[in-house]
Amino acid sequence: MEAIERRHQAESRTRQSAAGLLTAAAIWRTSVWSLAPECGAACWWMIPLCAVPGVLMALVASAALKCSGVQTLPEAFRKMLGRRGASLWKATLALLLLAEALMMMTALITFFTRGIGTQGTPLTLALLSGGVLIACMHRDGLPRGIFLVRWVLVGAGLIAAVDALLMARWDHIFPIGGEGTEVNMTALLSGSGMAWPLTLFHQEQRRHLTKSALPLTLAAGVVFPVALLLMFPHEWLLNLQNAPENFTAIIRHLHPGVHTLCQCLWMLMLFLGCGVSLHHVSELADGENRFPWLPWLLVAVTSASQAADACALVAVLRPMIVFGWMIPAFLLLILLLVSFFKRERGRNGG
Amino acid sequence: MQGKEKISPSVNHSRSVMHRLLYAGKNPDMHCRDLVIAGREAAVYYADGFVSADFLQRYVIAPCQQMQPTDEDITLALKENIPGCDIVAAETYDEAVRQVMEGRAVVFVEGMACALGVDVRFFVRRGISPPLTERVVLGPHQGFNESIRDNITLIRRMLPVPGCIGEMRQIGSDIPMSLCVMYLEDAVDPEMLKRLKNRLDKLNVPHVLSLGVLEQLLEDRPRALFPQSLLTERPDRAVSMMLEGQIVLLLDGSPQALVLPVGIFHLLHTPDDTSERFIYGSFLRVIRLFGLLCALLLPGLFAAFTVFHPEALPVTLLTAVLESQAAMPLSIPAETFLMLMMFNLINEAGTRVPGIAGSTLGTVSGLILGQAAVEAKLVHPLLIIVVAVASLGSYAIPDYALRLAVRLAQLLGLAAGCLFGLYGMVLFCVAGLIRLCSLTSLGVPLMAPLSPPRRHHQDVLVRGPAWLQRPGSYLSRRMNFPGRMRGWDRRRHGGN
Repeated sequence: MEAIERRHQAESRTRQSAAGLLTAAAIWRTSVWSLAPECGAACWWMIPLCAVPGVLMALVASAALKCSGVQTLPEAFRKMLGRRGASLWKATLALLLLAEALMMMTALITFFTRGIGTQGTPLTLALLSGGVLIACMHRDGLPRGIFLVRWVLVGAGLIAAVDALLMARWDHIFPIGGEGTEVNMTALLSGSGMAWPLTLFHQEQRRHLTKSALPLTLAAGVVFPVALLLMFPHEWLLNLQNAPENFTAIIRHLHPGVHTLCQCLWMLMLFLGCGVSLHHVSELADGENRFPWLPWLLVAVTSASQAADACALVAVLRPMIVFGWMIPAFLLLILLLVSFFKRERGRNGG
Repeated sequence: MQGKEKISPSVNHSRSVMHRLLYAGKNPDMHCRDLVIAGREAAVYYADGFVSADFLQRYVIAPCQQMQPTDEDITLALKENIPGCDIVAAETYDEAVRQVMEGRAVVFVEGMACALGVDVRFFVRRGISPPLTERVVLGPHQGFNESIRDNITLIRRMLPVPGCIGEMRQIGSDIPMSLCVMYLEDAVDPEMLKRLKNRLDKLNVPHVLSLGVLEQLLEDRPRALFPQSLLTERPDRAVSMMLEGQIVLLLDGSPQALVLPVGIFHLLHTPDDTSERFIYGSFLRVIRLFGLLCALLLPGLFAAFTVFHPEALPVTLLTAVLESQAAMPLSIPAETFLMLMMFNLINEAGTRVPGIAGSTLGTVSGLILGQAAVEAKLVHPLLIIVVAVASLGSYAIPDYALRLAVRLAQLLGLAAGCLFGLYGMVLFCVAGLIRLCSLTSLGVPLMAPLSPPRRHHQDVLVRGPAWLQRPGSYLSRRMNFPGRMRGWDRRRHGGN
């Protein structure tokens, strides 16, 4: 039994690394697409600030699990809110993850087409990327592969962050308020949900959760974009649009080798982030693996979505993510309250 | 149907059945010696070439002929009089035929409702010779041969404990071959053993002539590019894997052992790593890993950098490449592919040509073709170096199956680099890693103990000191061994 428990813990660690990668990729994407053009000089503190709601969500989930006395969030929802509550939680999470996957794929394809100027139509490149993604969509293989390369990704990000910090213009931290409170409020709203995937850590067994997983994820997710944006001239930040090619514009100022490293890192994070999102969607939709073709179908749908115009896609998906994370946050709050009251009733009654 | 019939007490009936089943009229090496045993009519069946004529005469026929008529049970009387150390009774004609084909002398006696098979085997077989494909500098130079009995003996001599279990079974419905499942009782994981036995029980094959075929029948994913089991010619390697809780399969007629389950890192280890001091062993492993990475990535990276990212190359190198490339008729991707295929052709030709001529062929054709191709301005000189380094890297891989897998993956990497540059190479590496992580060997992840993480000794990527290598591994039930191995060394970090 001890050996089986150790194996489950090992597999849980791999899934935690996948959740961490998705969180970091979501933070990077939102920072570069939304916060950088909207905040200007304020983005260096707006990024950590916008990560706070995601952290709070994770804390609420942790508290709800403690109060309900179960190991995972689906179990907690089933126990406290019944099967419908659990189904609602799974459906909400699945839709949000699907939107995240579509955003990641759009970011990846536009990185290829508008960022580095790869020849080919978006749909062709999406189908090629989807083909490679299908090869990676294995229930156990994907998290294990991410676990294996986690330190390589962190190391690459660290190299890029150090290079960016060495070239940082520290006067970019002023003005502190950016371009005005109104802009920052808009940015706060558009970036507030960027760390919501931290909640995915609590889909795993609580006793298997590595204590350092969440802090490390946050550090990896926040430090990299902050370092890049500190390096980038803030007057040029204002010229950035809410556009997918922002990233390539920002990293152009890095040293040539680090520039190439960053491009590879960005591409990998988006690719794997898309894979992890779809992996979670297929697990939520089909936990017992009765339809092994489901991940491939999701990849095909995600790839086919690139037939639409990228800007139109982003215009549709962004509000879904910006406001969509509030639904699972609300559900977690309800779960916490119900768990708390039931526990108190149990204590008083028993 | 007659084969499944129980053996008749009538020798005449048994003769006619055995003649038919052994095709005695067409097979001149299937012999029947008629004699009288204890006053009763009898027949001894044996296959010429499988038995020792001397043993047959001295230990079967002579003692039987000297038996006096007796009132006691003839089966018991025979067992008492025949001095053979291994006598097995056959209840059906099928069993009797199988025993004849195994090299036993099968005795039928009038009135006896079974047949007795006496072990007088004496096969012509190759002696113990050094392994052909797994050479080491230090360590034993014995290799398996085609006799399953010899192979079992080689393993037992290295593991002279009763817990070294060797379960025999027959495999193949039409042509049964002897298979031995060997494991260490207190090291093997019972769940894994049960899984393997279940797979063996459910095999439905007419015959299995080699372990390579059995490997494909037992692997978790036989269509995957990378192997999920290990074939070794070395008894010491098989024994070291049994000590780690792995299971070894031996098949009669195959001069290898099939080891299950394995991790990808087992395919990169050699006995030299253990025999050498840990610093040298670790260094050799790092070299091998470097060789594997060169073999896998170098051609693709070369194509990616020269075609898509020339700005990343040093200026002098870039100038040299562009100047010489201007005179070449083919593009760099085409040249790279051509040279890789030429190398594979030379390698295959050198393997098929026997003896010294084979190695000479490889050297000469490599030199001549490479030099001639450069002078004819067909290929870039730098490309020859790239392909040569990649080829040497593949030869550093100890496992033949992994070497072939890497050579195939090398072509995929080249395609990724040629079509998509560095981004293609990065995706190729990650996708390849994820596919590797999805593979399992008898249910155990191939990339364990790194991913998923499992408790393990310092013997995966680099080799830790011998005194830190405890018995067992993440594959076995035990991983502890109390006390300091270097018990004489009282220094704080000297013995433990």
